[in-house]
Amino acid sequence: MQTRIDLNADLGELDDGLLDAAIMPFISSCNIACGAHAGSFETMRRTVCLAKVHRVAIGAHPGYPDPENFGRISMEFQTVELCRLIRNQILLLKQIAEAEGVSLAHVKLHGALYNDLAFDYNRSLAVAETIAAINPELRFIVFSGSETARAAEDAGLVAVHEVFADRAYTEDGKLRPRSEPGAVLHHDADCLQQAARFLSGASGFIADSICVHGDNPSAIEFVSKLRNFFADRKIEVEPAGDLVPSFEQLGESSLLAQLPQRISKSTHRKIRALQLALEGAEGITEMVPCYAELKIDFDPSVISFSDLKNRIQSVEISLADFPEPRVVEVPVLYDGEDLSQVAEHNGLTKDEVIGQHCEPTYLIYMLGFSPGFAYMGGLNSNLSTPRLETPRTSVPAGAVGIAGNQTGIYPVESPGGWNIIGRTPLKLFYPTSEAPFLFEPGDEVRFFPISEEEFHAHG
Amino acid sequence: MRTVEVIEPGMYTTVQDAGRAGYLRYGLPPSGAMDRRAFEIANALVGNSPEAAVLECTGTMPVLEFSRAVSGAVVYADHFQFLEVSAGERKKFQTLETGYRAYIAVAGGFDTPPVMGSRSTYVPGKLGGFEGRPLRAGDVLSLANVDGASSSVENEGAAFISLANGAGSSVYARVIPGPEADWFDCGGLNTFLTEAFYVSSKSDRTGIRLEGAPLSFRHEAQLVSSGIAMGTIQVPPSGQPIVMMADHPTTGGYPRIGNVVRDDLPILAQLRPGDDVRFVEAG
Repeated sequence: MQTRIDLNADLGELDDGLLDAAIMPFISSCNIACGAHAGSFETMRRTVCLAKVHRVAIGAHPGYPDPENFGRISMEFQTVELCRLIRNQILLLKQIAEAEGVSLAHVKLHGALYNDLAFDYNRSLAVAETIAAINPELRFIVFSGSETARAAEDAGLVAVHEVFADRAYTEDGKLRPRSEPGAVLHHDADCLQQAARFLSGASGFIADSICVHGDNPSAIEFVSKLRNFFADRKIEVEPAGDLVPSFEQLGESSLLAQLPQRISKSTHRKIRALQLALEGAEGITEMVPCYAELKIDFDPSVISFSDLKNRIQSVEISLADFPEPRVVEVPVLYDGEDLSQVAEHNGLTKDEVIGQHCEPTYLIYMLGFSPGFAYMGGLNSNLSTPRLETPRTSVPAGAVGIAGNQTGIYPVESPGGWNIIGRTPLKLFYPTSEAPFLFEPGDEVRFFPISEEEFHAHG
Repeated sequence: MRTVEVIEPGMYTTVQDAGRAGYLRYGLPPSGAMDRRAFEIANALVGNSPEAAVLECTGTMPVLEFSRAVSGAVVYADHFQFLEVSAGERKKFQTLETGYRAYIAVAGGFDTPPVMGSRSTYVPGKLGGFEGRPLRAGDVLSLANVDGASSSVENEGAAFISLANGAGSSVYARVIPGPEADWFDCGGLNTFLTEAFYVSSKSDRTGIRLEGAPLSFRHEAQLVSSGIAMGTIQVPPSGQPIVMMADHPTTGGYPRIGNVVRDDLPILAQLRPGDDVRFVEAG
């Protein structure tokens, strides 16, 4: 059960600011129209000032330059041109905010632009890189689980996953089109129930922020109900994405510094940066970076849990000084017994599987499960293949496999249910060597194909 | 050179010491003695350094033949015995009556080659101890040399050291609530802190697998792979808890309902398959 949520609303879209003023006390983030689909210098300045008074996080809300249709209809642009349009809108609001003595916290795309990019990774990446170039600390509020979210993280931004309490979702995680019946939930009780599901983690969506509406009085009434609903459940309403750890105990001598549960690059960077900052600190015996937590083993006779917690809270972490990852090149002889099965499952040729497996740069989020086993992210979803129905009793060390949307290498001979596509001659775990492990958490990995002769030459 | 030959290996006998430190972030378990207290007492009784390697005997005891005269000690769950063997003596040990693990220490310690800073055997990784595996008949282990005779051996006998709560009665282990304790519903938490759980025969050095009334969850949320310590109690979807022990994986994806306090881990280590255990919240 998560204990924090952001409430965001699109504001500064009407000449009359009365409704904006009415909803502002209830929300934690506002997205201000930047003059393209709606808004003017006057509405931007007025909304910024209002947000400042209510301590609401200020975000730019760029849209298609089409005020007549309120940015709700798709428009064709070259990616470069689209990025320029978005950049200009963000910079304009940034300037106005800074003139009022507040800084821009986030960006959220508007209307058709938001929808057009949600499942377009390449254009999302271009836009995310444009935002990161303005300021890498800007959060990017995106449709939960979308390609825009993935692109935001790949561009080094924190993706703030947004969900909708008043919209029905399709099986594949998209919004049900408004043209279909039941697309919009009309009853407040249904919307509250959906919000509760998001917060429980049972929905399968990451819910950092809930989008609320402020364009009519009954919508504002709903937001006030939502606030009461959260207050009853002791859920804090505050802007998302600042990645401040919370602390848990794991027995008497382990402290967990936890971030919201997810597998994301921004979470990983924060965990690793915290680990690097604490390396060698007195009383800390070992640290294990995991996806969304850093496990810190300490000696209670040297430092207490609460002193260690204070110590961690006082650590200054700058993601800007984060070291460049080491890149480990891994040769693979692609002759695995399940290679044709992976190809067939995904409608590809074996060569296409090999090509697509070698294309990405994978990130090692953490090591665990068995000595030297790397949890890698970055597998092309085209290669995703379910685990074997019956696991093999023995898979040799060095076997390269795919299970679900993960790829991995068996560091030691063990039983396993992954689809084996090849083998590497490299040793991931070599206990008697000076450096017993090939990988470190935070490394990047690239695979490249080798021939049988090259494989044996390695041995 | 002083050596010891394994005549009968016992059910599962491995070389163990205080464990392997510094590699958790690479996924390498700490290993080391399951019952740390018995291990430490064994070394202390023979005047060894606290890190010296011992034999951890599980279920049944081995039969060993010593090449030279050796003094040592055997620590069981609830008592210990000093050991004086003469050169060439074939030594049978008292069987395990209470508890599941006993520790044989000899003056100077068992001298298998250290791997990554420890002599502990980690069987799934095939490393440490004697060829990375449990002992077999015919294995010959070296013993470390000691300067002069060990002087700590004075009182023969079997003073009770009460490592377990005793045979027949229910044993209790104290638990500190874990980070996902609130993922369980009231019924689940109540069951956890009131009912008895039985030790499954599938238990091993990785974890003590328990069987009992399944613990129910509040909701079906998924945990991304997270940290594990010795004593962490993970609950898979079956609702049957597993107490992670010396060879525990360093990370896992099941909710962590709690952690057995360090002082009570020896109790877990001494449970036999079929024994029962109850948990109480550490006060």
